[in-house]
Parts: sequence; C-alpha cells; structure tokens
Amino acid sequence: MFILFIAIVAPFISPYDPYYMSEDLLSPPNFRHPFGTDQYGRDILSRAIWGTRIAIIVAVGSAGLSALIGIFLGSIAGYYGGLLDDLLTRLIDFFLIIPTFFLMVLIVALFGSNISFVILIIGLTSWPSNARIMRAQVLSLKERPYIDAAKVAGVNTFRILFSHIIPNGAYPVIANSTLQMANAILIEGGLAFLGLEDPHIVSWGNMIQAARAYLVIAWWAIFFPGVAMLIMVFALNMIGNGISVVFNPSLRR
Amino acid sequence: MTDEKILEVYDLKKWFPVKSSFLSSIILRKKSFLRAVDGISFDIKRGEIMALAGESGCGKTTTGRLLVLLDEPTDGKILFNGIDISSLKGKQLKYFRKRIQMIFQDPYESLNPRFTILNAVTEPLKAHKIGSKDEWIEMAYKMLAYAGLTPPEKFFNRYPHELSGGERQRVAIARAMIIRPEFIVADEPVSMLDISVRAGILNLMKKLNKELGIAYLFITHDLAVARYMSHKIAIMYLGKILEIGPTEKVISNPKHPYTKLLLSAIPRPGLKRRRRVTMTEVPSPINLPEGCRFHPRCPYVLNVCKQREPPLSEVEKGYKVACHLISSN
Amino acid sequence: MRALTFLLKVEDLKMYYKIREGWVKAVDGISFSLDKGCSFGIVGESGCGKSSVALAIMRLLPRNAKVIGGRIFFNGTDLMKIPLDELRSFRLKKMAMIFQSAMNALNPVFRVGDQLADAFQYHEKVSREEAKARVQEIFELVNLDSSVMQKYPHELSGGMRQRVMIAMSLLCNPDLIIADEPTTALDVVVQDQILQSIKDLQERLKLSLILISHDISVILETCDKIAVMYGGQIVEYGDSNSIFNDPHHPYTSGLFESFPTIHAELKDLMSIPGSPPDLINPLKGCRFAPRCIFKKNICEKDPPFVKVKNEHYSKCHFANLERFEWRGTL
Repeated sequence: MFILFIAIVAPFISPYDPYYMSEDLLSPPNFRHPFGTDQYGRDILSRAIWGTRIAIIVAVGSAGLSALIGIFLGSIAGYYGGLLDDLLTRLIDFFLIIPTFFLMVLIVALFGSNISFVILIIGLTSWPSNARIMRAQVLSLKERPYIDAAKVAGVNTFRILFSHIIPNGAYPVIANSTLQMANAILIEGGLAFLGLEDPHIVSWGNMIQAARAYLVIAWWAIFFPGVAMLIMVFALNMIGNGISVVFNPSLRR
Repeated sequence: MTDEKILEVYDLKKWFPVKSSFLSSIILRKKSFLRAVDGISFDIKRGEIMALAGESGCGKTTTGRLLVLLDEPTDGKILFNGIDISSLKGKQLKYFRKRIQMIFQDPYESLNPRFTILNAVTEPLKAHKIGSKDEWIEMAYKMLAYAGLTPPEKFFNRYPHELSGGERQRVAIARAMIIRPEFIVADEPVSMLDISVRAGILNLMKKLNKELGIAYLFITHDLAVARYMSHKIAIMYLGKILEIGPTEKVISNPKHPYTKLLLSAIPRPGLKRRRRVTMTEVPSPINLPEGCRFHPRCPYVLNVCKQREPPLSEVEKGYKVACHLISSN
Repeated sequence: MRALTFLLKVEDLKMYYKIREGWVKAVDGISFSLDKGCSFGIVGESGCGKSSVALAIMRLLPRNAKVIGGRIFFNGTDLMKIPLDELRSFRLKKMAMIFQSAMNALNPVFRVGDQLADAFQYHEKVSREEAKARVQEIFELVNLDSSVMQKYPHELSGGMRQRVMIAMSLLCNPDLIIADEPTTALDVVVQDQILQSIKDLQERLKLSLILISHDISVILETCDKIAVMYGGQIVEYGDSNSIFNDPHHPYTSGLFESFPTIHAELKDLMSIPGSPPDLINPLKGCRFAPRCIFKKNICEKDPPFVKVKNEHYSKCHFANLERFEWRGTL
C-alpha cells in the first residue's frame, strides 16, 4: 500500500503544462479540456497540475522549516537539560496552546499574502510538535553507551549532537513531517478559501476559492482541485504511517 | 610495571540525590543521597592492572565513570600522573581524554549503529585532530589487525549489527587504543560475551598491557576473571573498599569476611555443595547500616562493628583491609 | 539404572523454528534420560539450543516452532502423543519450569501471593484460604517470609523474585523441575543461595531436576549427570565428575580451558577460534569441525556416539583416541 501511494503522488509532480487562457469559458469536461475550464477559460487540468507544484513547495518548505527548527531546539532541550530544557519546554507548550490557524489568518491579513510568507508562517508555528518528538528521542538516546564512548573519545558536544544523536533520533520527526506536510496543504487551502492567498499563483486552494461563486453551474471547477487536495493529503498520511512502521517494527500488525 | 604511579585516588565520593517524598523532606529536613561511591582511595602504577570487584550496586561502575571523567565527583581527588583531574573542563579535559579511555560492558550498545566500523574506529583521531585523512585509514588498519580482526579492510565498511559480540568488543578496544592512551577503564568487558569468546578478549587486553604498557582498572563481578587479569585487586561493597592487595594473596587467603563470603559462593566443579554462610541480601545503598556496612551480614560481628566504621588499614606492605576484627590482631 | 527408574526419557528430539531465512534447527536429535530424584545439567553457549530443549519438553513452544520428531517419555507416557489439554495438567502438576528472568513469569500488577494462589487454584479444586495456606507453606520451604506474599514483583530483589518463581513451581508437588538459567542475572552470593535452595528442595522433596546454564561451574557443581550441547546436538554426555576430570570431546575440553577459575592453578586461557555454527544449514558432518584443531578428513562424516567409559559418551570420531589438549589461538 505504501508503495502504491508513492506511485500515485509521483505522476502529479511530473507533467507540467503551461497555463493559458482559452476562449472556452466555463465549459464542462470535454475532449480538449478533460477537467473543464474555469470562469476565465483556463484549463482546469493544467491548473490542477500546476497547483501540485505549489502544494509541494508549501508542504515541503513549511514542514522542512518546522523540522529543522524542531530538531535543533528539541535536541538542545533534551541534551542539555536543566534550565534551558525547562525554558524551551515552556516555549513549546506555549506554542501548542496558541490556535495557530487564527494566528496565521491574523498575520496574513495584516502583513499580506505572499506565498513565501505563508510557508514561513506555517513553518514557524508548527515546529513545536517536532521539537517535542526530538527531545524525547534525545532524552533516551543520550544515555546510550556509544554516546558515553564518544565523550570519552573526546568528541565535542556539537559533533555528538550532529553525528550521533540526530541521525539516530530523527526518524520519528521525519514521519511526523509527512503528516505536517499534509496539514500544511490543508492550511494553505483554508487560507486561500478565506481569500487570504496570493491571487497570482496557481494553487488548489485558490482554484476552489475562485470557483465558489460558480459551484452550481460548474461543479468541475471545484471538484477536481478538491480531489487533488484530498488525494495528496491522504497519500502523505499513508506515507507517514508507512515510515513510522518501517522504523518501529512493533507497530506492524 | 614500574613503581611510578599513574593514577592516585583520594577519598573519592559520588553521591546522587534521591527524590524523597515532599513530606519526608519536610519532616526529616534532610535530603537523602544514594552514596554510590563513599570515600575510596587507591593508586595504580604505570603498567599495572587493578581489578575492582564487587556485586552489583557496590559502586564499581560509578567509580569507573568518575575516572574517565564522565561524571564529576562529589568530593575527593583524582590525580593522573600527579595532576589533579577531578574537575577539569574544556581544553584541559580534552587533553586527558587522549590519555584515559574506556571499554564498555555492552558490545551491542557501545558502537553507534549508524557508523561504519571505519568511522567508529577513527572517530577519536578526528576528535583530537591527530594525523591526516590517509593516515587515519592506515592507523585503523593497524589497530584492527592488532585487535585480531583480520583482514581489516573487510571490516571497514561493515556495520555493528553485522558483527558478533566478540568482534564488536574488539572494535571497541581498537577504538579505545587508536589514540594510544596510557590508562584504560574496562567496565565488565566480557560479561555479556559467550564463554568461548571471553578468553580471546581477555588475552587481547593482557597483550596490550604487556606489549604497550597500558594500565587498567578492570571492573568486574567475576572474581575468577579478576584473578586471571589483575596484579592487584580491590573488593568493593556499598561504596567502600573493604580489602585491597595483591591478587593472588587476596584470592588464596582472603582476610575480610565479605571477601571470604564472595569467594565461598563461587561454584566449585567436582565438589558437591557445602552449606554456606548467610542467606541475607545486600541492603539498599540509600539506607546504609550504621558502623561497618557489612556488619548485618557478618558472622564475626563485634559490638564495635555496629558503631564505628573500620578504616582501611595496612596489614602487610601493599595490602589493606577495613575490618575491626582484622586490624585488632 | 533399569528402565523402570527413568522419570524422563528423551529420544531423538528435534525441534525447529521457522524464520524468514528458513528453518532454524535448534534441537536436532537429542537423546537423554533422567532418573527419579537425580539432577541433570545441560550446558552450552548461547544459541546451542539448550533452552529450546526445555521448551520442547514442556511443550511451551512459540508460534513459529515445531517439534519435528522424537519422543519424550515421562513416567512411561509419550508426551508427544497426548492431546494438548491433557498436557496442560502435566505442566505444573508433574513438571514445572523456572525461567531465567522471574519478571517473565510474574504479572507486575498483582501481588505475588495472589498470583501463586491463583495458579494453585487453577490446578486444584480448593478454596482461597487453602490455596493461600499452601503458598505460605511453600514460601517457608524456600526461605521467604510470609510478608512477601503481599508484595508486588517490582518491590522484591532479584534473588527474592527468583525464590518466588521456585515457590510457584513447587505448588503442585511436581516430579520434575526444569530450571532454565535460573541464576544468570544474579550476583554470585545470591546465585549460591538460590542454587543451595534448589539443591535442598531437591533432596527434601525427592524432585528430579534439569538445570540449564551456560555457566559450566554451576552445572558441574550441582548436577549428577550432564550433557554438553553444541549446534543443536549433544556432543558429550554422562556422569558429571567423569566428564569434568576426563573430557573426551574437543569442544568440552576447549570450554574447560577457556574458563577462568579461582581454585585451580593459574594458567593461560585458551580461546576457541571461529564463530557459532549456522543452525539453518548445519553441516552434514561434525558441526564442531570448522573450529576444531584436531579435525581430520573423516570429520566430514557425522560422528557417532561413542561410549568412552561407563556412563560417559562422546560424539566424536576420536573420542577414545585422543586427549584433547588445546594450544589454541590467542
């Protein structure tokens, strides 16, 4: 199942069609436009495919940022412990309490809706869960004899963290990241739905938002981007599950 | 073995705070401590192997960790080549990390599972910036061969899980040796290995001692292994050394009642079991008995044993015992 | 020792485990017998199959294990032929097992006394009070204070837990106790106490004992008869004194020479070269041959069981011809 879904996700990435406005306005799915066209005559299929790029950029960008921050702060908190750990943990808790979506709506509404901004914001608000996971990993790993051995060998703390602890502990974070990617796409969709997204880019969320007004007469304009989003989110969830099972065989049924 | 002392330990202590319940800390007004190491003193000469033996919980592993500076002592001094290393940090600490190394008990956990053997063995060289990249490979080659892993190149790109326990321990030894330390703490290095493999590792360590003059602190609960390996032996119980002296003398003619108990408990093939001494167990190191720590289990207990702790006193040259009964003779 | 006094007789027992790479031939043709009231030791290193023998006799097989062949006679009854539910009554009532780690057998959320009383009531139709009284009785036998009945497993020390295990095994007055590495995780003084208790109980209750361990000195001190296992087979078998004083198999000699002792004269330890055998595709001939410095061509054929002396057998082509002195590798 795991591999099946990777196969499904991959073709989304490959064919990039240019998008251009054609004369057929709002036509239903037909030969020339398999997914139909939107109110400006743009081919839905092409736009759906282009939308993938944005989706992936958003997903990977924000999850990547979140993972980097999370791994870094989580490792420090876990390894050094003490006051630093307490402070960082409180910080994590604080962030977890904040309703991040509303925060993002606020920020975007105030500061503009550039897509890179959105990625940044998502990344900066979703790192706490990664940090928590990483910290837990570090706490258990730092007692392992090979860490002691590295210390005795004279390896400095920096290298211990980067060569020993993080490579061994990052797997749950990676699994979590795929789930975060799925989440990021949904958030982006939500923001777009509220009209807060950059109107110049082609994203599924944008497409849905734009097609709202025409839902009754042109169902395809909403349907296909919606399905695309659904499949992507589902696929990412499956991958996330798959990764957790691979690295934690006890979860295997 | 010379007469020069490479390691001297004076009144070394390591106490761990124990979380007591809120009420008891209010009522008793004192924190309770787990006195893992409670004032031990000994020295090791250059090229000497000293065994530190005792049952689990006696503090021997903690002692080992203190000597390699993985933990900081609560009190007491550690002198290495005459220099106080008890509380070193930073560059100075790193300097001594070149000279003092450790071999761990668990061959399965002392190697990073994601490092190749080559990476694992050369890591200390990288950490101390010794030699160039090409030299690293050559040094790893020589060290693995010396440790009995031949042909060495075959091991370079393997991972720990592909090796057997004995092979892993040889890698650990090679790793510890590659920077030519003067002193190694070996913490139960063979207790997790199969019997037929142990002899090989023990003999390798003896070879390193004979040929390269490396001094050891050999931590073990197995007195037979201690006898085979060491020139000198110290018996540890609940954080204190009860008897310390030349190995053959201590083993063949133990003076302290605890040592006698330990030795009598070892199975003797060929002889059928005789009735042994005591059915009691080791008390908790948090609530230590008053006076001599061993007195509740001692068949020769005197009144003074319940009140005062016996000091470690010399009964012969180089042979000390902590027992009221012995020192009074 | 006529056949009538045999309590347990195992003939050509074979038990294999199925794993991804194939069948692991953990027990590959074991035969031995145990007289009533005697103690029998099985010694070998990890992976030689000794624990599997115990599991096979008790029929406590994990899901991927299968007894492929052989017979196990207990007091004349072939255990392989009786149905599983009848076998259950054999367990604990006729034969009981003590495991290496007591935590494997004790439920951490129940008090120890309750657990044992439960076990007793499962096998005998008695009231709760009678069950508890029985537990108390047994605790006295194993030198446990009755206050221990109220404790949870984690509140007890390793030695005490093991005593609880022994108590549990004695509840229904079995004829046979199988102890699988009962003292491996314990300190030497506690080990001594436990072994002493087991020996006492054996004498007092006229029990038969099978003791399994990798520690040769424990086996040699405690057991009348021993078997040395290697690669799923028994390579030397017989009276323990005879084997200790005069081993007739290269592996046994090699083991003896690689064991540091307290009491004997101090000499260099020898190590046996090579690594443990592959149990999935075992050799057709002698399984120890690759590591044996006395190997000759004939060792490519499976060695027979040779009678070396009275009550002393060895599975080696040269059992009667050589005295196996190792000048092994360092």
